[in-house]
Amino acid sequence: MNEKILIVDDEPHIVKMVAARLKSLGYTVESAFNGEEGLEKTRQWKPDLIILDVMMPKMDGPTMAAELKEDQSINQIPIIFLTALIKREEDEAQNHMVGGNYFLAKPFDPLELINMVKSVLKNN
Amino acid sequence: MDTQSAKKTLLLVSVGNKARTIKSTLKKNAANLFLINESRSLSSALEFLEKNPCHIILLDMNLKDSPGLESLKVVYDKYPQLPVIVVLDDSEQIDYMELIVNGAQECLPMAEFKDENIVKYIHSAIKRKEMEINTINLKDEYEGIKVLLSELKKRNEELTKMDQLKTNFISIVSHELRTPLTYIKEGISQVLEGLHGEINEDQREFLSISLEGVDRLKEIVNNLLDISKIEAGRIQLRKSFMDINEVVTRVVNDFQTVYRKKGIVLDLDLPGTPLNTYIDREKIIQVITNLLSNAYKFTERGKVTVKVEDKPGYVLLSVRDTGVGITEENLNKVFDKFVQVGRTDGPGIKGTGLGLGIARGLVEQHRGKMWAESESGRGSVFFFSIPYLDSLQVVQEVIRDSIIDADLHKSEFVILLVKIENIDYLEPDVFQLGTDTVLNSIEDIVRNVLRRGTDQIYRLSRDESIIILPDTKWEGALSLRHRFTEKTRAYLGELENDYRIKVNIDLGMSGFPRDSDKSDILLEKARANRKDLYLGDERRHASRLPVDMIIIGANNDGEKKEFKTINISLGGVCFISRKYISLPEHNEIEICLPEEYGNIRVKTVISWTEKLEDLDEYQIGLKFMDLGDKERDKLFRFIELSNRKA
Repeated sequence: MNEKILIVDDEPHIVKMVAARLKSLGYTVESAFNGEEGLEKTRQWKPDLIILDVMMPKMDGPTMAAELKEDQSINQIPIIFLTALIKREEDEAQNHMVGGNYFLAKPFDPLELINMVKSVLKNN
Repeated sequence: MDTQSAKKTLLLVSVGNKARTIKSTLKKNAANLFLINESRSLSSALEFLEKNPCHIILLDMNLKDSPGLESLKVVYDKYPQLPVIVVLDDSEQIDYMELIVNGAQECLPMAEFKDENIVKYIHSAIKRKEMEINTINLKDEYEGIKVLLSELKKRNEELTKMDQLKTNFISIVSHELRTPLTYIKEGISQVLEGLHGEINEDQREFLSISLEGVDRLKEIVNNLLDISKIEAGRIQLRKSFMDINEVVTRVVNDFQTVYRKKGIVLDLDLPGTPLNTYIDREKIIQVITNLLSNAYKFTERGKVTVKVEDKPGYVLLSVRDTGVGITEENLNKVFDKFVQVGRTDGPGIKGTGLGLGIARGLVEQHRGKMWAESESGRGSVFFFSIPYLDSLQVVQEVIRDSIIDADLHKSEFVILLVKIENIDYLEPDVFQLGTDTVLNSIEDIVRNVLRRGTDQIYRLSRDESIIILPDTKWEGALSLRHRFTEKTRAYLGELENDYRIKVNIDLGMSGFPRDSDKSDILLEKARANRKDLYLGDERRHASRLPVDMIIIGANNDGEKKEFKTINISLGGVCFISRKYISLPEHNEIEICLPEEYGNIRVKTVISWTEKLEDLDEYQIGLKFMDLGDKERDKLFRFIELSNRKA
C-alpha cells in the first residue's frame, strides 16, 4: 500500500473529508486547491493517483488534466474527476477529455469513492 | 318624429344670394333627407357645431369673418370627421388640390347647386368621408398590431432570456447544493464509521438519522433537476436498440430483496420473445424504479406484478399492486408535481411527490404514454407504452437531439448521407455480394475515416445510411468527405475488379445551422444535395431509370445497327444524364464506358417524340457524333456485350 494520492479541489471541506477517508485506508495524501497548484504538486510529488475537481477557479480540472498529458514524466498518472455537474454535462465533459479518466459525481457515497480509488490503482 | 330622426343634419354656411339659391334647391329636392341649418359666418357655424351633431357642412369660401381657405382649415382642424363641400363662386379660380388636402370632400361652383344633382354630391361626400375615416381606423389598427407584434417579440426575447436564466439557475443550484451535500454526507459517514474515534449508541442513532436526511436531500435535488429538465424539454436521451425485457428484469431483480423484507411478492411476467425497442436504458430503468418504489410504498400485503406485453406497434408495460388504491378523482393527480395521494402522516417512507411525474415525462420523451387505473382499496395498475420506431423516425430523433445539443453549445454539425444509387441492379440475385454487404463495408470505411466515438451511423433503408457528425464545421466535413471518397473509390474499384459490377454511390451533405434548423429539412437537403462519388453533378440520379431500351446506332454513312434491350443503367456502366431527360425531342445523351473500353465519353444526339417517362419501352435513335471508327466499334462491341450479359 502506501500509494500517494493528490486531491485537488477548491472546496477545502471536500479536500479535508476525502483526505481523512483516504488516510484511514492507509494512503499518503497531499492536497491542492486549484489547478495551478495541483500541477505544481504533481510535478514535484509524482502521485500515483489524482482526484481532481472539474470546476475550479484559476485553472479548472480539465485544463489541468490537459497540461498533465503534455508532460511525458507525469502523463501516465490516472485521474478521477469529481463533478457536481448534471448528468448530461458530465457526458459532454467526458467526450472532451481524452483517455483513461474516471468520473465520480457529487454527492458520492464513501463506498463509491473507495471502490473507484482501489480499482483505478489496481488497474494502473 | 321617425322621418325627422332619419334626416341628416346639414349646415349651410353662406350669405346672400348664394345662401338663398342653395337653400331653395335643397328644400325643393331634399327636404325629406336633410335638416337644414344655416350660419352666416364662420364663428356662428363653429358655435352651432359645438352644440349640435352635424352630418355635412356646405362651406362658402368667401365669408366675411374668414375669407378663403382659412375657414376650411379651421373646420377641418376642429372637426376632422365632418364631411365638407366647399361652395365656390362660378368664376372663382382656386387650387382644387389644396382644398382636398385641407379636408374638403368636394369643391363645387355655384352652378352645381342649382339642380337636384347636388343631393348626389352631398351623399357621395358623406360616403367618402366615411370611407376615409375607415381607412384611417384601419391604419390605426394596423399600427396597433405592429406595436403588439413588437411587444410580443420583446416578450418572447424576455422569456427566452428567462428560460436561459432558469437553466443556468438549475445548473448553479445543483452545483452549490451538491458540494456541501458531499461533505455533509462524507463527514457524517466518517464519524459513524468510527474513523475519528469511538462513538456511543445514541450518537450512532442520531447520526444515522442525519445521514438518512442527507440521502433524501440528495434524492430531492436529483428529482428536482430531472423534473425541471423534463419541463424545459431539455432532457437528452441516449437511445439505442435493446431488448426491453432485459432492462425490466434487471430492475425487478434489484427490488426483490427489499420487497421480500416487507413480505410482498414481486412477480415478473415477460413475453417469450425479445422486444427490440429504441430506448434510453438509464431512463427506462428510472421509470420502472419509480413505479416499483411507488408500488412498494402503498402496498402492505399481497403482491406486485410487473408485466411486459408485445402489442401491435408498441410495448405495454404495467405494474399492478394490491395496495391501498387510488380514488377516481385522484387518478390523474398522481402524476402532478409535488402531489402525494394517499400519503400518511407520521413515520414511514416519504417521497418527493415527483417520482411519477418524472416517470411520465420520461415515457413521453420516448413517445409513449403513462396512465393509471385503480379501485380504491383493491390496488392500482400503472401502465406505460413504448412505441416501436422505424429507422426513419429514429434518424429524425437523432437529428432533432443533435439540433438541441448544437443549439445549446452554439456548435455546428453535419449530416452525411450515403446512398447506393443503382440498388435495383445490385440485389442478391444480380450481385452475389448483396447490398447489405456493400453498405456494411462502406459504413466501416466511414468509421475508419472518422475514428471519433461521438459520430453516429444509422441505416436508414436498404440502400441508405446516415452519418451524423456532431460538433463539426462544414469545412471539416468537406475534408472528411474527401478522405471518405478516396477510400470508397478504392473499395468500389475492388468490387469492380472482383465482381465486374459497378456500384454507384451518391454522397449528400447538409449542415446545421447552415442549411436548416429542422430535422426533416436537414435530412431532405442531404438527400437533395447528393452527388455521385465519381462524377459529381453530371450523373445525378441517372441510374434511377429502370430502363430497358432499344438503342439504334447509326454511323455517319447512315448505316443503322440495332441493339435490343440494353439496360442503360446497368450497374451504372452507362447512363443518361438527367438534365437532358425532361426535354421532349432531339436531345443529347451521354454514354460513358468503363476504362477497359478506352474510357470513351460519347456525346450523341437522340430524337424521340414522347417524353421518356411516359413510355414503357424506350426507343431511342442514337446518332454518334464526333466519334471515330475505332471508338464506334468499341462502343458497339461494348453494347453488344452488355446486351448479352443482361
